[in-house]
Amino acid sequence: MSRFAHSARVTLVHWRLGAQYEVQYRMNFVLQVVESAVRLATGIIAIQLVFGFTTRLGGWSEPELYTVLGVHVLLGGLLSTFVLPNMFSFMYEVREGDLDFALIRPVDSQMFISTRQIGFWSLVDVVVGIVVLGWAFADLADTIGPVDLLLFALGLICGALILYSVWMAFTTTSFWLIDTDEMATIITGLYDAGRWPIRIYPLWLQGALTAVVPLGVAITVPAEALTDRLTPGAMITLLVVTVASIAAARAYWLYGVKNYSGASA
Amino acid sequence: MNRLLPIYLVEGKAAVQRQAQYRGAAFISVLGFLIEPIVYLIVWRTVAEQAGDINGYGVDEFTSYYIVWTLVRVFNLALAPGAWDWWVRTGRIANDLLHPVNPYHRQLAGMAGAKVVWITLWIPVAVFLTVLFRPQFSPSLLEGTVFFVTAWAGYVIRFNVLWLLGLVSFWTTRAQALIEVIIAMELLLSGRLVPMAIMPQWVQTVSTWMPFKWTFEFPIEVFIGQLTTAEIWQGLGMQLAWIAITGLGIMAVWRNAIRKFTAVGT
Repeated sequence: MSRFAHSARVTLVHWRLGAQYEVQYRMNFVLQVVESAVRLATGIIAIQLVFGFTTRLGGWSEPELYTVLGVHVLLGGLLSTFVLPNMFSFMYEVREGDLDFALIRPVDSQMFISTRQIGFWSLVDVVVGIVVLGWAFADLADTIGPVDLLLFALGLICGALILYSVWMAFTTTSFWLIDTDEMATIITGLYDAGRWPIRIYPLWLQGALTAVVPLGVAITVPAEALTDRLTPGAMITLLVVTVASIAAARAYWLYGVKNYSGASA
Repeated sequence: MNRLLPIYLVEGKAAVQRQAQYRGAAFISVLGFLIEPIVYLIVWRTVAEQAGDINGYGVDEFTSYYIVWTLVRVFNLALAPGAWDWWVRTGRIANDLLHPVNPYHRQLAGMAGAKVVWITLWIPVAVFLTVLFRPQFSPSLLEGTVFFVTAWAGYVIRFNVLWLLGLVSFWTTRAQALIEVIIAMELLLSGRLVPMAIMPQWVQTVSTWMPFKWTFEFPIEVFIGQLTTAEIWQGLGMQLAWIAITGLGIMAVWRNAIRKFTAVGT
């Protein structure tokens, strides 16, 4: 079996076990629905308030902004389901000296620490994101062609990979900084900034959300594909940023593991 | 009160020293909390540039509002109610219960002391925002003094509300959904998302009778000169009332909550 196939198999086993564990707690599903509904409602209210006083925000109409909201919720759901539980486990293990147990496994260490857990009920946010996108799609259907849908799907995959890479790089910092809660606040804040199209921000903030912590471009570019404003330059930027993010996160992880001396008793 | 004052001073001083040790982490923390108002500021400035004056708020007023918002946010940061879940579930609260002073006082004083460092670290951010967005307001010494009082009062109200919310963890470890609802209410009814003047009239009326507005919008509007003297007195009265209501609430709920708690382990 190839190394990739082996890794994929281990990942699927982890996800299946994680899902089986979480579905035991069915009440968590109800609570997750309430949380998702509250977050969605506040997002919609914010947009409705804006469009109570104007018809366009930086050139974006109300249905177009719902595509940004939909992508934001959808990618946030993927992040909470597949990425965050693993990242927080990893940070805890570095602090407690338990990481050695993960590093000695006969699989790729980055893949292993990235896929051990799944926040199964957070898939509710993925569904909510799809519903919001469907709602926006109904208003924009006339302007969306098959190519746009393909570019949107590609953009969404790139966005998810960027989100993972940013969190992976940030989490790797735990090798050197034990208390990373403050940095998590910044990343969460920057992700929330992506709830609005980054093109409305001043150039310095657009640059930061594209090149430094590329969370804004991860959300806006897929939404641009659905709203007939995606330029080849933006798509190429997204692809370059995606490849660069994955490569940087991988290099940083390998550097971190190489310099990690272990902390277990 | 005489017994508590030295405790508040010692806890506050210790918090200043702790935060001063971790200046880098505290600065990153302050930066993280400031992204939210900067986003609102840019969004609403963009709207005001297109729509003009919105119920008394134009580009200048939105700019002033959200820049003062950043200071109020630093003032009214309080213990996150989600922390209670871990605190109770893991039994760590047992350590705090062994102290002869109620954890409420120690935490209220500790968070207040930490603000001395946070506010100091906020200053360069404020300078950056001021240079970037050029807010047009010049508070008088009196407005500045009243702001200082209202910002601290807002902190106490918010701390109390979140503390009350945190106490729910003594009955259930699944309080996150309730916390989300309350935080959403705060977002909409406090002036945190937008000045309440932008909201429909009925929402403004509801917000007057809730605690949230008195922790965010009231201190901001005092500072940027949006309120008459009568409105300021009325607001101070509301803040006092909410400090009393939430304080009595904590006394009542704490007694019952602590009876629910049993600790085991080392």
